[in-house]
Amino acid sequence: MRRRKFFKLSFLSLGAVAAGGGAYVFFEKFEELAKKIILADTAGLGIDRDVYDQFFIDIKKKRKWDSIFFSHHKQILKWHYYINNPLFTLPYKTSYEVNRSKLVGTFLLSTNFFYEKMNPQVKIKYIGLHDPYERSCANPFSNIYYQS
Amino acid sequence: MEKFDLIVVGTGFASTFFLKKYLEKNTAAKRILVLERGILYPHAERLKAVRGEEIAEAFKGYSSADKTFKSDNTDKTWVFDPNFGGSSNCWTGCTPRFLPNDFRMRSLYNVGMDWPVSYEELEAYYTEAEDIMQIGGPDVTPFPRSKKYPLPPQHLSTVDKLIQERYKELYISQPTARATIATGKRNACCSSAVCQLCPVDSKFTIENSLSDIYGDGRIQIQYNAVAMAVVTENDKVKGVVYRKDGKETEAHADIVALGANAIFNAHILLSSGDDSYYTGRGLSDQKGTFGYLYYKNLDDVGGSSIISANGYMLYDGEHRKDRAGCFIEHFNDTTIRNEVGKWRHISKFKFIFEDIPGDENRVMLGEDPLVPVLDYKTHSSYVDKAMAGLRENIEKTFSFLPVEKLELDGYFQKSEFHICSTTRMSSDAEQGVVDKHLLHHKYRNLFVLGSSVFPTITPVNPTLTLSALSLMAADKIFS
Repeated sequence: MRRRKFFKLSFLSLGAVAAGGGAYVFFEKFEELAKKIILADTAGLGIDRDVYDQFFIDIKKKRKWDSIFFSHHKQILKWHYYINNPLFTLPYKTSYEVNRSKLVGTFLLSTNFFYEKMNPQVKIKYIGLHDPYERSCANPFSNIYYQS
Repeated sequence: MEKFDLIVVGTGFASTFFLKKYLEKNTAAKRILVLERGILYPHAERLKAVRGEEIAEAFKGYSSADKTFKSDNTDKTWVFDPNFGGSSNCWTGCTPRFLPNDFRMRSLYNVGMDWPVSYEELEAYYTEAEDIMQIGGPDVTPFPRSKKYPLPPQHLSTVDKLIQERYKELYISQPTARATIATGKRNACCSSAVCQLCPVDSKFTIENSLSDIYGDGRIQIQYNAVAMAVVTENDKVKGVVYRKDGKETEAHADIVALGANAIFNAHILLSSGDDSYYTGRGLSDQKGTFGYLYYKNLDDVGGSSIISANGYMLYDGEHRKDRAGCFIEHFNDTTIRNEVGKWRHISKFKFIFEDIPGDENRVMLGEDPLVPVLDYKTHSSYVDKAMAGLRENIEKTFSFLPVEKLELDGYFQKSEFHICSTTRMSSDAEQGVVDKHLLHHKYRNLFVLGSSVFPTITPVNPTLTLSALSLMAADKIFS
């Protein structure tokens, strides 16, 4: 009897933890997740904290993430970020990778990094949110920046 | 009852190219009525809206496509702009020609049907349409040409150059209506990669290049005027019934040209009692999916525009007997590879398949006489067979590149933004709705224009071809 109660309580506890974790992932503010990903994925570039801060302030002010990502893409990013591990990957892995790259790309495109040809010797500066309607002709990989 | 020489429905590519040629050829025409269901929503105001700036009061009534039709299929979207200039406002400006073999799918591959018009017959009109749109393109193409493109080609990227070296004329700088140098009122494209609304007004639009036509004193244009039906009498069309400001009006004309789109052209004909079996049937679009090549020590940089090149390696050939031809677009946007030191060791491609228009996919009448109902079930197995072999084909095709990894979306995009084949062209009335000159088989003074007349849809963008067909149709009235 005591053993059965123990298992029952264990299952209920596990369920509660899973539900709580799921709710956390589902309801976590996207901008918080975006910060975590950007900081993690650009950690090796030696970027000053104030570059990140200016970007995060501007992107929040202009609510840019909402125009860059559909809500289902935001959910893909969240669930993959928290659940993927070396043994298990959720479906839509390509979509996750593409959107994670897009997220980090939005940050890096708002700096001088790509315009300086990704040169690790050049100090990275914030130049303003990447938005073709505010700053057109700014595709750093195009022929304008790479003359053949 | 007002009487006109010509009534044109719509102001997009199909209508405007028809009208341009008609006005050039027919100096005797005195009165022309143009019915536009939307408004003139200028590019400058659209830019303000996308930047979050206040737009003028007159343009707040801008209508989007969403509420103009009904469809229960959430897996398939239909994208267009129901305003002055039509989809020239939102297109990307890709202007490849069809291949000569695209016009002979039945004869060569035993699928779909042959077009009643050949590439050779259309060639002069392709050239003319390219001149009007000031297309930039390369000297060597997989389709024959009688004249050089008016503007220089786009720049190829580092990866494009390697692929072109391997595949020659099967991999080319994309012919495009995104101006490669400034021309007319258009600036040169500078690769902002948001062509749905170009920040520098580079791509050809009706507004920036052909709106003068509508200033011709012979033309009376009615905005917010929704064409409902053509009025028929025996085997002739007498005119058009349209609704404006809640009121229905009937106008008469010697000639009527429907240049709405493949949804509304079919709907207008169905509302008029057109009893052709094929009216409304064959609703179709291509199917596209993205793929990413990750390279070892190879940067993909230096290309111009949003799509720098097109690949024909998987397009034409015997495989089309069994599975869809595939057209390749190389995207030159700001995609990165999220790995330190390998940021641009990546290429983004779109693989676009043709479909065979199926009779079961239809435009139908609904309860509201102004709102078509779309019954789009699904694409054909012809597409799925091609999709099934895509990974293997890509691996084989790009095996000479230093590819570390290939990632495929594995699903189709919801739209390729082309609506086709609901009033298909045929040699006789048994097989379709209009003849090779886009004249309705039954009503011989009624033109049906645009991609609704395509018997087969090919994997490539339809705009240049439908524009060339409109020029040919108007030209033939007077020959």
